[in-house]
Amino acid sequence: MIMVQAKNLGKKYSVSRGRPLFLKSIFKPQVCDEIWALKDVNLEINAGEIIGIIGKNGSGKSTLLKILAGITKPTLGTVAINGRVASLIELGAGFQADLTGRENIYLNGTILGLTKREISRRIGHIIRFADIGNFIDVPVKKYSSGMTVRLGFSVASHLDPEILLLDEVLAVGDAAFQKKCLDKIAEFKKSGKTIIFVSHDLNQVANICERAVWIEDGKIKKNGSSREVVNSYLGSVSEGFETELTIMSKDWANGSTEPQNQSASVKKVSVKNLEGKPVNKLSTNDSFNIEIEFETKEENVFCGMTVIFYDNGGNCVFGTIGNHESNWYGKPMPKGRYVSVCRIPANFFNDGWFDVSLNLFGRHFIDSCMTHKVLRLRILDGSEVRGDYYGRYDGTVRPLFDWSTRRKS
Amino acid sequence: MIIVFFKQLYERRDLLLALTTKELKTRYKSAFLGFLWAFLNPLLQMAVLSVVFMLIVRIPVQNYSLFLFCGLLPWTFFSQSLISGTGSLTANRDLIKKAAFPREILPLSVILSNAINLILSLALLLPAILIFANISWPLILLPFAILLHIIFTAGLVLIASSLDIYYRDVSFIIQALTMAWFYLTPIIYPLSMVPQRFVDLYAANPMVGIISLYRFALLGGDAPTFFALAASMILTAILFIFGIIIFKKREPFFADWI
Repeated sequence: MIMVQAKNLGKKYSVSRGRPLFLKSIFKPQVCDEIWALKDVNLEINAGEIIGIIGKNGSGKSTLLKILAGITKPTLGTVAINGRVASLIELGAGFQADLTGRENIYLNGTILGLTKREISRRIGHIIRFADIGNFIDVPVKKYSSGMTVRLGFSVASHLDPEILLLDEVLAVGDAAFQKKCLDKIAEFKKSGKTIIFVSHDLNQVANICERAVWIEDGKIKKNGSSREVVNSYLGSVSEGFETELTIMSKDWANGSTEPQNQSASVKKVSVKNLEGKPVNKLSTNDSFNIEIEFETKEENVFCGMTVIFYDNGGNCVFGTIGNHESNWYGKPMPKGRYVSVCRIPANFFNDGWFDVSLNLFGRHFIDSCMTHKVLRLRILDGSEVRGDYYGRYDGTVRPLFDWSTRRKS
Repeated sequence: MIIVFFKQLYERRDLLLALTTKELKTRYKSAFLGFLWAFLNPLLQMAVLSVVFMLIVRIPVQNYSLFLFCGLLPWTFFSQSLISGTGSLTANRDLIKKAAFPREILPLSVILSNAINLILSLALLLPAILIFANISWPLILLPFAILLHIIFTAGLVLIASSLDIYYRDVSFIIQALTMAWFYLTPIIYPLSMVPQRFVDLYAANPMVGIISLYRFALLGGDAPTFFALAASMILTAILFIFGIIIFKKREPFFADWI
């Protein structure tokens, strides 16, 4: 059964500076700019579905939710809703600071659409679920913010709607409270209710929702299985960063300032893909090469190299020495041009910015020449190997290690 | 549209009651004298006006204080409902942006809470009338006067509040209007003092019929003229229907404008 059907939804906002004057408007019509917060949105939601809505700030998510909730009316298109809707766009809507928790339960409950009798029947459960003890008969102004939220969620979760609209409500409260919320959502899900859920927490969307809708600039950019949609969204978010700040290759054409020591001089350092082609985009899933082109100054010199990576805060992540290289390392090199390649495996770096320094050295690691910030890499979040985790990774590396679990008893 | 208005109002009557109680509770919960303020305010106003108009201006009316009070209490209801009802939508910005419910409940709850104050104040006034004057059969008209007054106020507040949410000068216009209106209504002076040639024009003010009806119900004396009463009733009906239509037409955009 289709619970929500939106056809060609469009919502236009007129933006003006402040509210106009009535007396003035009689003589002069108001001019204002128009902004389409939503355009051509088509959406069908079936009974029992849990659907996540993601997108950047200002993309139109909340506008869509407000239209579905009946708070505002679409400029174009139609919405058909099949069932009782409860919208939790804000917890504790209309809470009055001077009234007690108990009085506010009645007020908030009736605002959300319950009748007084329905509230009286549930008030015991509501108070128990809120779990704020004797504070229930104390004016809400004496509450901590956590208590207010708990009371608000407690009322909301006893609404018994067929369609539940949630906007970022889970972002508040402590871990215990969040768990309570998630349990309640699971309970709703079990009883076959439809849940529409706007969130910035991609991890929650990917794991709680079966389907997700990604909205950008007021349009549906992708609508499909939640993991797929979250993946493409994550990809696009990191693409948004300025790539002009990266340095993917450096050339020392006119010999004077190039990094050099007595045996060799570096001509070029660049990032290449595994086929040896230059790249301008790197993701955590990519394996890539750092190629160093150099020229020996005399016959039979010895020469080696270290590549060192720094994170955005200037902390050294690691350095790698090319002393396991088997063709030329430790051997006398005839005069000529050479290319050293250092391969960085896929699924090694975390996403972020990295500076690369190059150290050129001669025999016995003396006569070295260190050059900082030869390259500046931006590694984007390629999320193919995230599994079911869509949150942040800590640290500067994101290696893919082997894990195993066995049962001991 | 009018049927929808009443249907929604009936469906959400519990919300209307909850918001009305909230209005009453929050207004008087922290004040020491509680509800009495609703009565005390007009009482103080009456004391001042009585001194001015009995000793200085000398309006020739028997029991002037009672006469004044019978007009002042309904007027207090009217002006307070009009002023806070007009601003009731903008005052509940968060609620309008974040929850879905028939918006007319906000201004109507303000009117209803003021009406409860009015009824309690009138109840306090009755013993005074019993002592200084006498009560007779017209008292049965009092509920009708109150009802007419509430509907008239509601019509006006529906229009004003739905304009106030868009235009920022409406509440100021309403305040100025209320002040002028006070002197154009027979509250501090009797209708008989109005020059004969202006009486018909004067009675086109629907508050004339309503206040006269209150006076007649409480103090007896001359019944309001048929013309004044008819003008009040017809204007009340027109204003109320017009108010519902304009409010309901603008309602879908409240969340965008506010």
